[in-house]
Amino acid sequence: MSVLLKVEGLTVAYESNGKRLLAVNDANLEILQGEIFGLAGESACGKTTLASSILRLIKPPGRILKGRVVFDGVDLLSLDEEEFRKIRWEKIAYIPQASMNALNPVMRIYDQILDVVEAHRKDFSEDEIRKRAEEIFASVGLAPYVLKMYPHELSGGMRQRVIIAMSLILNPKLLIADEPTTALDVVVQRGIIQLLKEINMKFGTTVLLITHDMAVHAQIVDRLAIMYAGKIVEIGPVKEMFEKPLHPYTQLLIASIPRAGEKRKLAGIPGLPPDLRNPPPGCMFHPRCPFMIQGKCDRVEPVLQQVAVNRKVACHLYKG
Amino acid sequence: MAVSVVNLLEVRNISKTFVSGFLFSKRKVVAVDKVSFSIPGEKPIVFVLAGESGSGKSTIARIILKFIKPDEGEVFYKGKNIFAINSKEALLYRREVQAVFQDPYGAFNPVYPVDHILSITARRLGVDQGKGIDEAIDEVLVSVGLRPEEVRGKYPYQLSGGQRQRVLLARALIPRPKLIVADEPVSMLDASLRAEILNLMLDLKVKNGVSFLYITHDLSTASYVGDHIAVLYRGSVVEMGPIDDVITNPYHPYTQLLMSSIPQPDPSKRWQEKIATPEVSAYKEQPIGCKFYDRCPWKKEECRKAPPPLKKIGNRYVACYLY
Amino acid sequence: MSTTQKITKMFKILSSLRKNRKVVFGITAYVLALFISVFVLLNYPPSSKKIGYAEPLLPPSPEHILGTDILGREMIVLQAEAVINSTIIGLTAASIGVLVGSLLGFVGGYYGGRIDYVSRVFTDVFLSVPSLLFLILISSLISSLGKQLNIVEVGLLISLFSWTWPARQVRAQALSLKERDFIYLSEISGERKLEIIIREMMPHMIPWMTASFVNAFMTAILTEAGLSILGLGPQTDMTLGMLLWWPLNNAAMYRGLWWWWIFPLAAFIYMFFSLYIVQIGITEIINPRSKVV
Repeated sequence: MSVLLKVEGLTVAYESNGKRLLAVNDANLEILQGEIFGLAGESACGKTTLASSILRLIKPPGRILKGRVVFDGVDLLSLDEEEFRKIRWEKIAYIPQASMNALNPVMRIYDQILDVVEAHRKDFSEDEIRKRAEEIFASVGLAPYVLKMYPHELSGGMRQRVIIAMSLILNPKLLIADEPTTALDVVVQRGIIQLLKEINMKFGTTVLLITHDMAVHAQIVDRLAIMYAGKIVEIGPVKEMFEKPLHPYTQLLIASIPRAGEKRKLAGIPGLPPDLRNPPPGCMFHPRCPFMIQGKCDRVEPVLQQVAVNRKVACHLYKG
Repeated sequence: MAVSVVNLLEVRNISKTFVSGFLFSKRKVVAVDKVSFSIPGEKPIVFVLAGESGSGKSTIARIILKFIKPDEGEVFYKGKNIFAINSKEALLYRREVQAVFQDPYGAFNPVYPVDHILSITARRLGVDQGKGIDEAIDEVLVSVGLRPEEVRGKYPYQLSGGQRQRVLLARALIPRPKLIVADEPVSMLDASLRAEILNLMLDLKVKNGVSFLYITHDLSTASYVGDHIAVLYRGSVVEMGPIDDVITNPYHPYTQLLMSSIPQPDPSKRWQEKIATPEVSAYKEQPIGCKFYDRCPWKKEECRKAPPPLKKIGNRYVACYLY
Repeated sequence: MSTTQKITKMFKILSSLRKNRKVVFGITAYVLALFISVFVLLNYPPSSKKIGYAEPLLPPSPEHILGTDILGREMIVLQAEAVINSTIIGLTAASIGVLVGSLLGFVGGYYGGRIDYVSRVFTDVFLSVPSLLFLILISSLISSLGKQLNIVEVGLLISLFSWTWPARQVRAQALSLKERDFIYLSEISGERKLEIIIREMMPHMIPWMTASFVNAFMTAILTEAGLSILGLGPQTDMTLGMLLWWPLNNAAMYRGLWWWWIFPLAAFIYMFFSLYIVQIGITEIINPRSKVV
């Protein structure tokens, strides 16, 4: 399988009052064509910032310090605004957090779709757009009459489907979804998660799924990356990650998830995530790590290395 | 029927309808529809009130906390109707029934440090005999795993989400409550933090003898801390019983749907079929028969005629014509 | 909170106001004008305001710094008086407006239901009416009855409409505040309703009330100018508006009597803008996202 998106050494900083913090710190990952790639991590780990960087949505006081984002062989960060506009929505579609609440409340769904399409492609006739909209709506499980409705007439789940449909209209190669199921009821959530899987299987759309909910990753993702304090700490096939997590953070994270019906005692992770303005020396996780090696983990930052086929970890416990 | 004094909290047949809009565009939403359940008082338990959005669980919490009055039905605390008590008893009620809310940031008034609400609780609801206010506050902070120095004088934005939620739990403990109503206490916390707060709740139940009314949509955390559960659907109780039984062997079709929709954090246990249940649009009229009728895979003719009553089947209650 | 904590808190609020450059600049500019006016009034004899004090229509000179007007009055003294009188009008209208409006708006927003409905309808009626037009009507009526308004009465007249915006602002705040989690939590912690309003809600409403105050002040000055220029002002007292009416009414521009209208206009613009800058600053404090510079 070929690599569709490759992030190389991406570093994004936020500067305020003279202080700088690295929201994304030297991130490296590859997303293969046709796969569902999951990006997991708790709040403020940098996953949304990473997604925003891919789409060049970082605004001051945020700044991309260095790195490349290579999509289909082209470094997105090196393109000028006009060239990148052709990629946004047509090749890479982005569903930001809570976007189902961003629908214009005073416009019908169909008019909003028209707006979006016309903003990007002037060469479609209205007929073609209508046909395509109905087609896409059918694939996401929405009846055509929804096109004539207003956002407030739809439930949360239906609005999320509308957003997903809108993002797929121009048949993008990559769909980036940031927390697409938070704030949805669990039954509706299942529908959306399964819809993403279906889109991936039917249309071959590559999906980058960003969520803190590990159970959602477990259900549909092919490969998974874990982020902590701006760094990518582990990447691997989802089954192996759950069965045999390598990085201590991954291990503790998975151990802290309650499973319905199980009464095994849950362990949280003691301590707090680091203050990125004053990051700890060496490994970001070492103050909370039960396997911390004195003299090493608190001095030297571990690098993301390949430790097995398809497995990368950033931890001194493992040799690359 | 005599009210059992053994029950800590008894909710009997409460209903609440909300009317919105003015004059010509009035809209009625039945949030709570004749709900009854009781929390026994012999030993501290965690009673789970589970449901998704629109189930009425938050409205029930607000009724129990006396923020709103039910349109019909009563709520009894230790045998007394909480809406028919004098002001002295009302103060006692506030002491013994406390609450923790979902949003650890919004629960604090941002213009004051977090001590503010702690000292107000201590002064207004009273602390143990012979203890100073500060002493009592420090004590509860320690009992939730916080060092007083790391919290005193700090503004809400200076603390982490986990710390804030602990402070809120500490506040709830100040008047020595018998029951804490916890409305989604961990939904806004990260996964690794949830375990800590949930373990803390279990600790408090055992060590401080506090019962919890744990309100949530997340059945995984519910099954971790809960003893008993009542599942709500669109304002009505559909199933109620010991939590382990209800979760591993759900009777009501809605409970079954809920359980099957929970994503298991295990890649080897993936969903096999696509979910077939159609989605509900934003506003639905109140149906005449069973509320779950359109989404039920086992619907029968009689389900449309009248809502099924809550019947005792074995060790639990179910509201379904299948039983 | 102990007394020391309360005082510290007061200083914190003041210091946040102090830190905003626009607020400091605007207030300093305005207060400077006030000081200069008082200084001028103290250093000129009261006769300088009377008709015939000096030769009429003298251009600025070392003896008459801003010249004299058509009645031979010392311009600089008239301007000083105008600044002070307009300030009184502004303060009257703004104080009454904010007090009455906040009370009405709060009661409506907090209690909701029918009380809110009535208060809202009342406020909306006054808001939708063109206030200047009505004030012109009322003042014309009053002057046709032979009554001459003094500055405080002008302030009261303007306050007929200055309460509407504060009412709206405070109502919106009360509505959103009463549903906040921390208000519910205060109730559960045993705080009584009145304590909650004063201790928990007030600190959130004060910034808005302050903004409304400055707004009402500015509007009052503008309104007074409008009324005065049309000849409906307090004829016997000197205000910023009256200061403009005299030259306008006597074709000062055509007659080349530039000092008679340029200084009053400059004074008016100066006073108004200093308030405007304060308002922008306060808006920035309330809503940091609106910062442009």
